[in-house]
Amino acid sequence: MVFRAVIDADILKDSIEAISTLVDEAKFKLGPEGISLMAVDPANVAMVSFELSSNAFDSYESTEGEIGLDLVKLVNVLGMAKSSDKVGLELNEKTHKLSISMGGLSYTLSLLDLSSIRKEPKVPTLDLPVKATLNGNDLRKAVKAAETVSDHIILGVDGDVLFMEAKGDTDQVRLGLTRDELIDLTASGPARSLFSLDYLSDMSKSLKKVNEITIHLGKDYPIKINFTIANGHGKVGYLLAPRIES
Amino acid sequence: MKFIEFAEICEKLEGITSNLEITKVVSQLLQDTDELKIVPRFIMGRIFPAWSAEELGVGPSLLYDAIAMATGTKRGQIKGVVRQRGDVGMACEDLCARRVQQPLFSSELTVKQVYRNFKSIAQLEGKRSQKRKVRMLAELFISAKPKEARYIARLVLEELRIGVGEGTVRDAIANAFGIPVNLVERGYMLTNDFGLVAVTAKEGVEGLECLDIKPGRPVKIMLAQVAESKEAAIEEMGEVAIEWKYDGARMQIHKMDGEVQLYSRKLENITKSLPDIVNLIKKDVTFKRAILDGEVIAIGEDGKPRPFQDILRRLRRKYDVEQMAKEIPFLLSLFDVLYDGQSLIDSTLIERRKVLDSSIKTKHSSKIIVAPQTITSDIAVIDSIYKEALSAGHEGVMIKNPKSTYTPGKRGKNWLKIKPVMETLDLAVIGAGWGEGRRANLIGSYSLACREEDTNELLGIGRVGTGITDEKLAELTELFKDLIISEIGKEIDIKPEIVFEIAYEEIQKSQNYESGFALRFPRLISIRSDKSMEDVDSVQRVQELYGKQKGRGVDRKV
Repeated sequence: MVFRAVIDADILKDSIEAISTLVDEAKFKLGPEGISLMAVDPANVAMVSFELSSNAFDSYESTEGEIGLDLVKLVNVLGMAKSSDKVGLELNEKTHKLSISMGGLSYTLSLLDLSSIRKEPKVPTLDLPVKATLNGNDLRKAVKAAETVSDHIILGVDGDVLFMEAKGDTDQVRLGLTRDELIDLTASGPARSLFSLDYLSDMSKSLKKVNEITIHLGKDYPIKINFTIANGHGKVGYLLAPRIES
Repeated sequence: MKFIEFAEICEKLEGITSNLEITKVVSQLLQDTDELKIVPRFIMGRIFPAWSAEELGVGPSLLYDAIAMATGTKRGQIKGVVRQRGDVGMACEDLCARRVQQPLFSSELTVKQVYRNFKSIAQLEGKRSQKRKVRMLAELFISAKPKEARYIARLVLEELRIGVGEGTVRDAIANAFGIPVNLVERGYMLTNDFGLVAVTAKEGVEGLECLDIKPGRPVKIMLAQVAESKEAAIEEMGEVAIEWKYDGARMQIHKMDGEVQLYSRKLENITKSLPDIVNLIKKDVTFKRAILDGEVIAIGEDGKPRPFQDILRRLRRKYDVEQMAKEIPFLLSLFDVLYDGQSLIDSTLIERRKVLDSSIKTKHSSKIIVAPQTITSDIAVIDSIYKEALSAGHEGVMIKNPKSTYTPGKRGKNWLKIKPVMETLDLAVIGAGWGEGRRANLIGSYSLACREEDTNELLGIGRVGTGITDEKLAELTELFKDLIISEIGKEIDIKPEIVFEIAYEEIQKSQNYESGFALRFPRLISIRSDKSMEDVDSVQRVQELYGKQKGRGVDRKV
């Protein structure tokens, strides 16, 4: 199996961090068209799907195959890179290692045994009535505000308003975004679901630099959050199960 | 086997009080299950074989984190539910029934999957391991039905509360597969794993007879009783073998060709902490493969043993091990051999001793010795050896039956120890209390318990508090923080795991504690991290000391 590529450190870092907020170890699918992954967090509450096209790379060459990576280690290694660095990746199938080079540094990272990594989940098919497109920072802001009063947040649609609401024991916070403040909103049915902020706040860390995200909501249904990275050459999708409103 | 089936049997057992009935149910379970390697351990609240160094490393604190994550309950509310239900398992059951966080998907739990997750948790190390342990555990609770959650939680804390102990499982294996009990017992003593014993027993008697000790799999150590008197010992044994009872830490040494593994008396693998001992064994032990029993001692510059705490400082150390080896050099004193290429445990002490004498190359190496032994039937000789041992700063002497075999895990009559009468007690810490005023954030006192010999039940015997400095209190608070099960006001319920060595002025009869005894002026001498719950002194022992002390008290008054 061959895998050899060069990519901007920033793009790679953002990509890996979007995954590592949910899982520590992951199985990547490699192929001529690019890299992809699907993983579920250990508590079965959240899922991430990830694609990075070969166009996101400065140079890219790969045959079909799978590799297992320790994302904690990978994030640490990438932490050493400057944002202007180019990162070189090369798979050595014989030694079962990935070599990572950047700014004169070169690391070799042992691959994980594929059988030790959790099986790839099946994506549940969901038909969610609400689809909203908004600025990534708006969701991030709502999550941050909610965290000051509670550990869960309600996301829903009320008429033309996408609302995010958190109630603590004594305090509450609400953010309403009208259709004008959103990039787009289509609703074919009611939507109101409760989510754990623990997870949402991990996910929204990746949204800092994202201009446009799409969220799908239903009534007591999981939330889907989709956005692109790497100047449109990559896709990240999160799926998070709701909590039951008590 | 589905985990819910296992949970239902546990629940059934919880309602049975007759031992005979319990054994019957367990026996049926062992016949029915397709997870015979795991179930015999699970049913007695153990996850890994007793010999294994694997531990979950999950106390109440991480367990509560996992339950919070899996059920979406606020972390702060959990202790309240535990207090209200009076049991961690019931509390987890309730919380799972009231679960608010939904999973994306869940699967039906099997015994195998539960074990697999436990095993992964035990293998996690490093700085993010706490968080990952919590997530792996949460994964189980996410899929668990409320009743399953009850027993998963109790398994995590390794206390199933269904009245199944080693004896029950032994009898149940014998029952289930029509095997004599003593053969099952023997298999367990040699392998320390009821899973293996059960699997072997199912195949028939022959396999069980072939089970034996082997280097790499630690064996429970042979234990000693307190001698009634030297005279009684000689009367019973005729000739006796006398050795010093060193003030050191017990160690079981396994040599497998070029590899050496060291185990503590709790059978923890402590090899990495003691590279000096490993080298010593590699260099000086003549046998290619061996299991040796001995004691490590730290000798100070004055030739006397250093405080026991110095030894403990080295035993499970992870960092600066080489440095520590220089600071606190150890002497290894070997006193028994269990294996020299073949099992020796059925040989007599005299025979084993002969083998042991040829076990080390340099008999006069300053770092490794075969403990001197004298065979005698003369009380005067015993007395003089006893005095020598005490004046050298050691604990006393061991009196051993020269004709006895090595009986793993047994506190039998073949090994007796003689120590000065007023000794300390090793007691389990079962509870605690937050301090007052300046010490409000520290645990200020600890509830202690001794052990009922037959049932291993822990019985309260008093509290220790004074005599601990603020600094020590803070250190102890840190140590116990993750073992807190629940709190009511200032009172804390602690998972019994830690052994205190306690000195006292006097043992008194008391109605205030379950043991029927109380300690006058108890003082904490040390934390015996080398000892486990099985090593906690029994109430029978307390009774004995109480009797002896009464005699002494009269003498004093006259």
